[in-house]
Amino acid sequence: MIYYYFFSFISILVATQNRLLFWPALPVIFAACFQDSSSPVLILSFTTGLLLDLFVGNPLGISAIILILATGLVLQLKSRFGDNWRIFILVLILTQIVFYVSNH
Amino acid sequence: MTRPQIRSLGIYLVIAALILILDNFGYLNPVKSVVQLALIPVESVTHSISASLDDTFSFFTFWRSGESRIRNLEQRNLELLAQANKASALETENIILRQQLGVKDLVDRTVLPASVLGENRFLSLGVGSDHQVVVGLPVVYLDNYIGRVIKVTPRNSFIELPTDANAKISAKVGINGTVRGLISGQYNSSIVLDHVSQDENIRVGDAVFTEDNFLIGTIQKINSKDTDLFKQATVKPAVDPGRLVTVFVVLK
Repeated sequence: MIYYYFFSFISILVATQNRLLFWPALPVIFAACFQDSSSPVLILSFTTGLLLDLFVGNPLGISAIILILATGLVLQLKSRFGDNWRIFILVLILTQIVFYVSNH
Repeated sequence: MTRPQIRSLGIYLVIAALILILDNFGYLNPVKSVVQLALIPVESVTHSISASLDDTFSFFTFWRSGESRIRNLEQRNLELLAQANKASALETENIILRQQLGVKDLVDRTVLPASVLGENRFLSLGVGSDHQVVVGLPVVYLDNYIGRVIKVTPRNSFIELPTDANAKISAKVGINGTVRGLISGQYNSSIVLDHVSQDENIRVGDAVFTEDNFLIGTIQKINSKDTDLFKQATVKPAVDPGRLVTVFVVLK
């Protein structure tokens, strides 16, 4: 889990230097995909959201709510689709690439 | 999702919502202030690294257009040198005339240096209400307009850039210009000068200033037709705020 926290912190720092606030959602969604237990993932999304708001100047808690909802969505998809959930990682990466390209 | 998972998700959502409400009423400001004090050095170092990386990468793209740009800049440098000499002579004459007439200096500003911590939708600075920064103050760099303070915490402030979609700034073309217009941001990437009367004459290359005589940028392209109600132009910003390490908040 420590790697996800590190990845999360780096992505927040990246997000503070450009306009891509989508970055901090990546480690949270990856953790939700790969971790078996949901509790550490929810703590990760909660702390990542708070830290992002502190860095960026958003109202404190708004990003935490969004990231927790995103985590819930991924967990729901994971439980609904069983072993095929890896397809969502592919979709996630493709979405990120499209988002990045459309912003440059 | 299992029932315990849904319950813990709900608990975290409620806690986050409570934090949001408490923050909205300002109860968390002391805690935020302490945490931001610890975050400022981290943000500052990140911004320095980001700026230096930008410079490194721009070196690799420079070779394509570099030679012609250097030639243009040399030509422009010569023109500006001639203008500077003329301005210097006029300034000396102006000082002598002011002394003779006993006129006080028109511009008497107090500025506060502030380190840039990051550029997101807003530019975040390492100074806040503890340093007498309040909402609405202009932020400049060498008399170039960077933006306006839109939000202040005890140790941080957030600057709305002219490129922001919500930015609306009263502007004039030329430092003593009578041509007035409204500067607004588009898609957080470009600046548009709008609401300029069709009778007024604006040209590509004209400088656009705020009412406080800070340079916003130069007109890059006239977008409107003669049949439009107002003239509209795209303005090229004078500085790229993302590359700056220090800016100045104009306190008065």
